[in-house]
Amino acid sequence: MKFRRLLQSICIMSKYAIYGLVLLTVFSNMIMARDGYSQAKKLEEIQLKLSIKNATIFQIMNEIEKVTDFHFTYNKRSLKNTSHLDINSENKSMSDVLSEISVKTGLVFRRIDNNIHVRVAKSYIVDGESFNASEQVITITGKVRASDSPEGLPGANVVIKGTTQGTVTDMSGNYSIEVNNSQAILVFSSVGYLKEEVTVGNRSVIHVELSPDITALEEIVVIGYGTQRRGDLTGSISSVPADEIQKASVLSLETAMQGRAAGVLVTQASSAPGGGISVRIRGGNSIQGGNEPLYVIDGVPVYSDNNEVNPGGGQFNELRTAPNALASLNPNDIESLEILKDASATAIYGSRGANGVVLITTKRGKAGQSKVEYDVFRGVQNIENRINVLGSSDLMRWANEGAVFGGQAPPFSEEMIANPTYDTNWQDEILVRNAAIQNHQLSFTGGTNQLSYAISGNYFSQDGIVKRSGFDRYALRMNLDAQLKDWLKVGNNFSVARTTNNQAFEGGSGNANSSALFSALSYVPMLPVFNESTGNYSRREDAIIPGYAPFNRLNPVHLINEMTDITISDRLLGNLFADVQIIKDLNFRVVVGADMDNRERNYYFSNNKDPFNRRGSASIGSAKAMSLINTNMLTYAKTIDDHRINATAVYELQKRTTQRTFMSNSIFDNDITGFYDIGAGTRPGGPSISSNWIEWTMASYLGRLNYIYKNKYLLTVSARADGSSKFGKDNRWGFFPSAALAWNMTDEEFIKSLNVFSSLKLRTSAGRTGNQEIGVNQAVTRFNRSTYTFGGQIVNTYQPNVGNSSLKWETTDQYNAGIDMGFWNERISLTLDAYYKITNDLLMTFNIPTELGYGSTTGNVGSLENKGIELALGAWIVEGNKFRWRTDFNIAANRNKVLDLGTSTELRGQRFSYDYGAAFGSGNLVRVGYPVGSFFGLIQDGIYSTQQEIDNNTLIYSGNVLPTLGSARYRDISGPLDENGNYTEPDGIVDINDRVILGNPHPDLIYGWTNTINYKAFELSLFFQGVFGNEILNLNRRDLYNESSAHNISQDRFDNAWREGNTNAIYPRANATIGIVQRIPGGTYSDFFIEDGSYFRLRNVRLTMDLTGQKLMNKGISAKVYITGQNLFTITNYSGFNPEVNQQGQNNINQGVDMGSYPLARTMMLGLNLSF
Amino acid sequence: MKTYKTIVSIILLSLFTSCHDDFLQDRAYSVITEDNFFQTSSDAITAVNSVYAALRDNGMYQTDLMMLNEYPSETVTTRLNIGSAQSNMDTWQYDVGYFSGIYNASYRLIERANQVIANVPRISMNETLKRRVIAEATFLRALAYFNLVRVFGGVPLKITPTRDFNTLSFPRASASDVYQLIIGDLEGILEAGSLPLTSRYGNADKGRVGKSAVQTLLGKVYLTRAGDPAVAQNSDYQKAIQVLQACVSDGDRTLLSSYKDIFSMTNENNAEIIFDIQYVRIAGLGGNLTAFIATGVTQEFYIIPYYDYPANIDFYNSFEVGDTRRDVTFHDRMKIPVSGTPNVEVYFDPDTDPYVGNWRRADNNSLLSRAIIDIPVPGFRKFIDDNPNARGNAEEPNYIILRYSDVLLMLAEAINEANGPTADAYNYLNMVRRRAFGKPANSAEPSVDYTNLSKEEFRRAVFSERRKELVIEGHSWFDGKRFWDIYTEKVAATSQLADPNINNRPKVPMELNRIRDDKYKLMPFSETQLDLNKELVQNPGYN
Repeated sequence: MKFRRLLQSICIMSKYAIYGLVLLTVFSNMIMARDGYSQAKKLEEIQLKLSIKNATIFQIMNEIEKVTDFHFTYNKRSLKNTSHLDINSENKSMSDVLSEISVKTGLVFRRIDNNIHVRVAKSYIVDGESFNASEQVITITGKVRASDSPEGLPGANVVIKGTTQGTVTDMSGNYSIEVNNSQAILVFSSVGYLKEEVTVGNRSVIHVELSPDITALEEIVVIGYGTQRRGDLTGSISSVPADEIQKASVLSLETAMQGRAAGVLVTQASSAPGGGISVRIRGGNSIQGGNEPLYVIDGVPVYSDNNEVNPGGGQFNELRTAPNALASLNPNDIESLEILKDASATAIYGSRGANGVVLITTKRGKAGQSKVEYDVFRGVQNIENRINVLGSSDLMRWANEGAVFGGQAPPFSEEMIANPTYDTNWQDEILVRNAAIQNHQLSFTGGTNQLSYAISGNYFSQDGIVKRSGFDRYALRMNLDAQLKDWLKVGNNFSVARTTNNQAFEGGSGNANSSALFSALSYVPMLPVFNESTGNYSRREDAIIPGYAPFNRLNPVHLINEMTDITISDRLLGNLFADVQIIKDLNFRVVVGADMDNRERNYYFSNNKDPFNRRGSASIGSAKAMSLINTNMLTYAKTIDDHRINATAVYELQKRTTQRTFMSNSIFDNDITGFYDIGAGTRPGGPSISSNWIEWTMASYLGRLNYIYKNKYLLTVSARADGSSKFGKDNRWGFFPSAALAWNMTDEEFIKSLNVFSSLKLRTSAGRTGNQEIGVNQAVTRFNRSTYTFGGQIVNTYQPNVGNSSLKWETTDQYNAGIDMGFWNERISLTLDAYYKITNDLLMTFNIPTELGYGSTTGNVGSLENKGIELALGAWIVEGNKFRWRTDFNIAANRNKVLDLGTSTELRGQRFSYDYGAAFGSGNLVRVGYPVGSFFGLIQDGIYSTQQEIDNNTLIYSGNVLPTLGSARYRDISGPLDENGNYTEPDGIVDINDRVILGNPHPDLIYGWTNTINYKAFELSLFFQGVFGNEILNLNRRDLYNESSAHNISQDRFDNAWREGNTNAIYPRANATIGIVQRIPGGTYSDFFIEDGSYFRLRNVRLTMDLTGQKLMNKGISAKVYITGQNLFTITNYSGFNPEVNQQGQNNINQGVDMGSYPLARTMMLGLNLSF
Repeated sequence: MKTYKTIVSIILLSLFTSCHDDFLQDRAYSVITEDNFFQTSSDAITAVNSVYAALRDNGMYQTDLMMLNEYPSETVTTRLNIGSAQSNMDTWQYDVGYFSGIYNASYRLIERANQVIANVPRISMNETLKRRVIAEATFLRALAYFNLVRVFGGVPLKITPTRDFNTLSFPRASASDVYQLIIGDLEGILEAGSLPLTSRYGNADKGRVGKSAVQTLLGKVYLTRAGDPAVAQNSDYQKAIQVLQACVSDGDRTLLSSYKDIFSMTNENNAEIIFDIQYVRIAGLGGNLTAFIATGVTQEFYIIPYYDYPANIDFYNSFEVGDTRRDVTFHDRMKIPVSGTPNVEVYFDPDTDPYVGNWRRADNNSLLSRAIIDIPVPGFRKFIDDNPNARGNAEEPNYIILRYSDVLLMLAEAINEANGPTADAYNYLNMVRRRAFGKPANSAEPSVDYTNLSKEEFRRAVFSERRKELVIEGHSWFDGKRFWDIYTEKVAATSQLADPNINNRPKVPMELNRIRDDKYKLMPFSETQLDLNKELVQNPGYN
């Protein structure tokens, strides 16, 4: 049955592939345009050292290809008859060299990114047209110069319009041409400049000034289902150049975007090697659906849900920080990375586009240029900062202080305090100094016009700064392009990777035992690592004074040493494609892509040296995910006079299958085999085994039309219809339209006359996108399996779970307005965007009357909005030959607000701790009128510092708790709800009604600042990044700032506690609680846990020295050494390890929480880049 | 050019017509959906099994329903952790939130039963088995409605399965109507003879509902309705007597000779058990009461035993000498680590000063200080799995909902209420008492038998025996409502002795008088339920 269905769907998909092949064989035509790639450098910036005598144009182009990244494309036949040339380009720019060739050969060069198209200048093609000698012949002379330079422009073409007659300017830009009548029109043109037409009239001297043609030199931008010149863009798209990624030595794909694209917030859920990352483009749109962008890697869509293929398992699995789902992708292979932000750009991805789309194109080979490149870096990592906690002596003093306040005798004698038996620094015990990191990237690129290749191998290895954690990646890639016929091109992208992730005990449910880091902060220093007499891990019983010892907490070394948690992931991602030029201007492309992601998580907690001698527990969880996609795309591009049209139509099928198996066992007789022999456990009832297999499918039609008039007025209209199996039968199909208009004002006379802008474009767009990131089968009635027993024998039970047949997409409507500006020939460029997004029909679990038999169902409820502004500024501060300084800055502000939650007024996040029961519920909530995941709780109002304040106290605390000297005071904000559900005036009672919104985890501003400074052979790149105005719920403070005999506290708490002689203290006295207000039913937080999460960080600094001298260059070798420092300094007020913290990762509600999170490493690396 | 266009159009046309319905259909390989379920007898059985599984819900006997019955009663004290569920129930500070668990769990069970009752009839299968399956579901639904009507009074009646979410409000039915449904359903099962005797079930079906369960529940329903003046009908006591006597005369169930054996983990599904929740020592399939009700079954992480149901010291002391139920009921002897030595046996000594300590070492009778064991009362022993590996819903003991001594005590109560303390009434009451003292149940035993009681004294005797016999079995508050005067008086009496520093007696004195308020005979709906179901009306006194 299942097999039949599988077969059926394979058949359906292959049917379209066959259609594609039929098309391949039926039609033939010309060579199609090649894909272009981004490259920021201008031709003028590129120094060329070339010395060739009597060479053909082909030899020259080959030479240039060898020493640069450029690739020439041409029709060999038409260039055949060009003469032999001498080129001596000592210290000339590429631009100069090309001009020289142009002058000498009459060839015209046109650059699109790394490709330089070569053709014979039309003015030189003489097809035997006769010259009318009867007319009077006039000789016109003059000088052609560029508007941006006083120098003459050599090599410019001067042609008489309507004829093939013409000439070129000499080295000084002078020309001389004969025309036969005064009505003749001269057309002046040159590579990279806009052409000018001048009527001769009665002049005999005509000087002409040409303006640079920005669009001609501009990069090609990868957009959804195609590419576009940046100048033609109507949507909001940010690009991250490949060399920026390279310079930053990024360890994962997502971090390549951090701080480099306005409006993209990248947060490490865990700073552990391979740790989870969450990305928000223009804020989160969903509350319970997915909020991560869609990644499209070489045309294969990949959704980064860290939990989807997280196989589960482990001991305290409830809220573990899931490892990064994209960690297996090698960032070194990225050629270009584009972030689609507004609806005009994303609507083409329809139901998966609402959270933004990240398009990633990997490196491809270029014809004629064989290149071997080896890049290696190695380095060491150390913890960025530590949290200052008490040593044994101070903790004993603290305990004494607390006991005295409690009316008891001080438990620790002066002798004990003076000479503590142990003074264990638990952070030292679990942290590693100089943890190693290394990366090796070896790539081969090259090929011929018929076949080009890019092959790379990568080995990356990062040891964690917490013991026994680490991450390894082996990755291989092979991208091929074959021009089989001049009308047919086929190719592939193929990558395979294995990653191994050793996880340390971190994050977790908030149960103290789920995080070795949390435990290390607060485990008492008076205990040794091991009990000296038994050799077992120390624990509560080993306390020198009973009671002054950890309660309900495992020794952190125990947690680190005895737990093994290895996730192995094998990923195969790739596609095959064929491009067919059906007729001129009409192209057909068929792509079949696959993403296979197989993971296995192996977990064992041993009983070694365990004072309780628990008998081991093991689990093996495996998840196999497979996405298949078939895209069939027709594109039509046509230019008719001033009209340019580009139309795309696509039919696409997608399928994703996820298979899981999970097994666990416990009670092992020894620790020798662990999870390697999971059957050795003797768990009552045998090992626990489960599996499931789910699948969703999607079919889509989409179309897009770009229309450009006179390069000034640009229109993009797109629409996509998606049908998904995830939704109810009647709601399967969703429609996602968008429209955008742009006005390229650069050429408008009134702008030109201002003489300010070198480019100016206004953009506006509106559109609708969707979100379908929910589980499968929510729309149908399921019967869920569980078990029961009769007479001790297990039986199955199938319990109903009624599906919501009216389930449909979440939709986001987005409006965007933007402006692109360039000044002084693009020396300064500026992009400003403003947007408004409203998400309706939020996919949410909503509560239904219990009488129905179910507490909740998934439906489309409520709405929320995001609005914001983004600014990107780039400038050449210094643009000299020897010294150049480029700076790029981006900043964005997003405001998120919940507008409606249907029947609920608020939702709470998941609770954290199981130690403190209900007293430690979630501190995040979703409330109408506030940002998603806002923090809420009581406000602490100083402390009762004098007896007088106690005597004057009129506040009644919930549970009739009486304030004491040196205890915290809380603010009475409001009384109970009235009948309309509104809070009433303060009632003199501090209780559950006094909880208010204390902040939210979303930054007010996010920014990034990149600087690249070149001086001779040196390049210094500095990358700063930061966020401003977000709050963090720092749950580490629960223990570090609370009274307790059972754990350690922070030095800050000790130093600033209320005590005799320090009554003006910040914190309460030794045995008074702070933060958690225990006496409020259900418990609550206070603002004490909320900290400012703003930070400014030197994320990356790299100094590169180019060792390539003339000799090496002549041999085609390039060598660079570099030194990189990461996270060298951070300016923040946050008291924890790292303000970039988000322990719950992609969880939308519990954002901005820190509890035993993995600390950030400061890394120093030395690297070498060799190519030949 | 023309041919190209034609060919392209033809191919495009074929491209864009496709079998979407096939491609987009659900592929829930590991999920059973309504399309492929309720086809075979196996589907009927696994569906009804899910109704049993609903009994494990936290809102049921595992947590909420049991908390509600035991916390307010005079048998149990609590840790007096202000703000905790225990404390709020204990002191009758009913925060409405605590009752949603019972309400939700009951309707979850009802929905599962409704699915069985509505869908199984169309399955082609053995008719006897089909009737049995439907009767099992019907009984369990009646049990859930009976709990609801006892906790909340009249509740919405939902007797068909949920198909969609179009209707989102449900009015309350009257308590009489709820009783009518329960009685109609249970009598229907008995009249049709749909269920076998409990003893007839083979080993693989031990724990399913048998005829005796229906009789016992129906007897309890009549007895309960008789005890509630708002809904009582004249014949209720007679009908209770009739159906309970039928249960006795069937001889299907019987008293075990030893009280201890009822709760033995190696003697589950014994002849005294009428209906229980089946648990085994497998994660997810076992009980979870040990951590809550056991004193001193030391958990790994806790040196100080942790518990939610410590016994009230007055109740502990009320057991007479020779009553075998005391040792079975209380966990007053256990092994704990002392000064690094594991497994030191200690026992509870009620005669010492709780400020000094209440536990002595078994080896040398020395008193242990409160620093080592800080519990001035024992916990309960019933339903405890003393295997330390069996934790986290992995405990072996079945949780008993109905058993035979309850039938006898209900008979004694019903007869006394209807006709006064007749010989039959004495006999049924004394059978239970004799067994408790280790005597043969069926022969007179002057040393322990009750004799010569007034009708009121007999009521008190029934109340007292029910307490000692059935404590921690989820009857305390439900029983208390039938014996309201006695119940409130007893709670008040032990509360007077409460010492806020020593939590060996329940209740905070200032809350004492609240218990006499009749509004506490019904519990409030939670705000959430009232919000979600607009037609639900709150019980009086809770607005």
